[in-house]
Amino acid sequence: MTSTIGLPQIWLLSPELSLTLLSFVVLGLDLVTRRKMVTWVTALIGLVIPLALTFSLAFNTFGSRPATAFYGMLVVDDFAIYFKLLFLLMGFCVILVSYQYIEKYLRVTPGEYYAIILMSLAGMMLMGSSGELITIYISFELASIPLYILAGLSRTDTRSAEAAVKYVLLGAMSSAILLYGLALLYGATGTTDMLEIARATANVLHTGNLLLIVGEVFVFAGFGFKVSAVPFHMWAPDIYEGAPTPSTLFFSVGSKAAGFAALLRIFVFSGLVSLNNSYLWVMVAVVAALTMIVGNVGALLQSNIKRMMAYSSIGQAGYLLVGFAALIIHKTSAGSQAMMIFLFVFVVTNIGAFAGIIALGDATGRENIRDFDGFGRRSPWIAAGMAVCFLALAGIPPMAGFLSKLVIFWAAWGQGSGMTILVIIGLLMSAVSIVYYANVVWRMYVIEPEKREYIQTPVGVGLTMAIAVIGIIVLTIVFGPLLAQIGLGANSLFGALVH
Amino acid sequence: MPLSAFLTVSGVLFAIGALGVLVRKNPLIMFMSIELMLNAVNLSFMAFAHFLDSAQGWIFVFLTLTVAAAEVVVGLAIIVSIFRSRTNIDVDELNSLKG
Repeated sequence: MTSTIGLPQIWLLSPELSLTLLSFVVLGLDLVTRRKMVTWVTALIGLVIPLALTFSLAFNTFGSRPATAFYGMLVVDDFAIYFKLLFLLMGFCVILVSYQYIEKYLRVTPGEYYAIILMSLAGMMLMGSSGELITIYISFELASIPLYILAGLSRTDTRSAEAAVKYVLLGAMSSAILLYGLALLYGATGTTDMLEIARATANVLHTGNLLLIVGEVFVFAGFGFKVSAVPFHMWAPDIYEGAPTPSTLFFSVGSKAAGFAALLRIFVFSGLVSLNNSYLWVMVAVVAALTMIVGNVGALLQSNIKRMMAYSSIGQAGYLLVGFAALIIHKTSAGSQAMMIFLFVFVVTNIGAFAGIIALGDATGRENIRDFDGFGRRSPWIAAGMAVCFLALAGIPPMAGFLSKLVIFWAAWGQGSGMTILVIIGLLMSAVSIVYYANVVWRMYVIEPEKREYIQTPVGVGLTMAIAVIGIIVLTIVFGPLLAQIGLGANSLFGALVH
Repeated sequence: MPLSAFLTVSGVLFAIGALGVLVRKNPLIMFMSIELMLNAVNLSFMAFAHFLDSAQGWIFVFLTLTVAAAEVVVGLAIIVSIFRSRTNIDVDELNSLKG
């Protein structure tokens, strides 16, 4: 760890720095040009720079030790790079899918919209590579505050404003809860550096340390809001429904992936999971079970497709929490490895599903499940892609969605009777989820539509759907090698503890 | 005064703030309650920093204040935008989204 701020440190931060600069450029473009296409294309092509810089970090072997900068505030290891790449892919797809929709439904200058997405993206990337409690809090807010604005961007729509108010109030409260947790962790260990925390707690069997226990609970609650785990899930359906659909896609995939990245980072990297903490396991297991049940049963009852996707993503968060519970009880990287690949598959499939919803919403302005009647005939290609994504989300073998669920349940299976019960609940709820996913597919192909005219699909939406479907196919084919590769990232999170 | 005194005050303030967010119906008051929660946390940070004799807690407080200001700016802007479309900002009337 060097004490200066020089080029090597700047290089480690360069993906986020270039992303921030790109967001300023995109914002400034509004002043220069009136052509919306220019802003859109600049934002898309500009994403190549942070991508190239991330790859330059990825191909530099740091050895077994993670590279740190700024007194350990920033950590760049395989885990961080994996999430950086995932967020960049996500940002590219969200911007790609948005163009026609925001032109048609949002009365904002496009530069604003893309700049806000890019800023939030920079925050999400930092969440995965924070090495300090301060960094994790700042990047948490950097990722969240733009999302509040995105929810309210549709200024003429009262539903959008309502979603934004709910989001900002609940979001600010959750960040206060997270902050209290961080304060207690700091108080219990005397430091905000995660590696120092790991050292401070490693020698303590801290069953009596109330500060640490309460701190862990509060931190988990703060991130539980971000990933919409059950006692804190109430915001998700309202905000998914009220926000403009491309923003909803971003909340759904971005908020969840960033929340889990930061959760893994703080709990594993600062050694909290390595402690003797059965109370933490009980809490996570109960939350995971409730999240799976509420999410999947709630999705059955919805008539609005965005609300259905909200509950479905709550259910998916439940499966991810099963992986987290396995991580806590097993104390090896198997659980985090499963969560990482599950998030990848979740992101790709959700992008495809939302591309279909945006295609219909863009053409007709409607977003009920009923409106998908006969979608297969009105827009065959998009409907086919959407069907693939929904079946992958439902976990129909042999698709990637099935494999990633299998990996999570495999990591959890046989880790004691509590985990076995969780896996059984998970399998039951997967069966329930097939009902509502298949319902949409059935409506698209079997039911006769009211109107028969062909739905024109914007280029961006079509391309996004193509990326998602190709992504699912590729993920299914290379699942084994990818899992092995992700294992390195999951290990890098633990590796720091050894030194 | 012992550390526990500061922590108790901070915990009580935090609880009052959380209660305010859950009970009050006006978004502006709810925002005030959130500020109370954040400042309660700042109090524990400062108490810890003082008793542990470490500077990180002080720095955390500075950054928290800045971030909270940014959050309030966005929040108030959103409340103003909803106030434009309707004259009442009672959260009980924000009920067009449910199911």
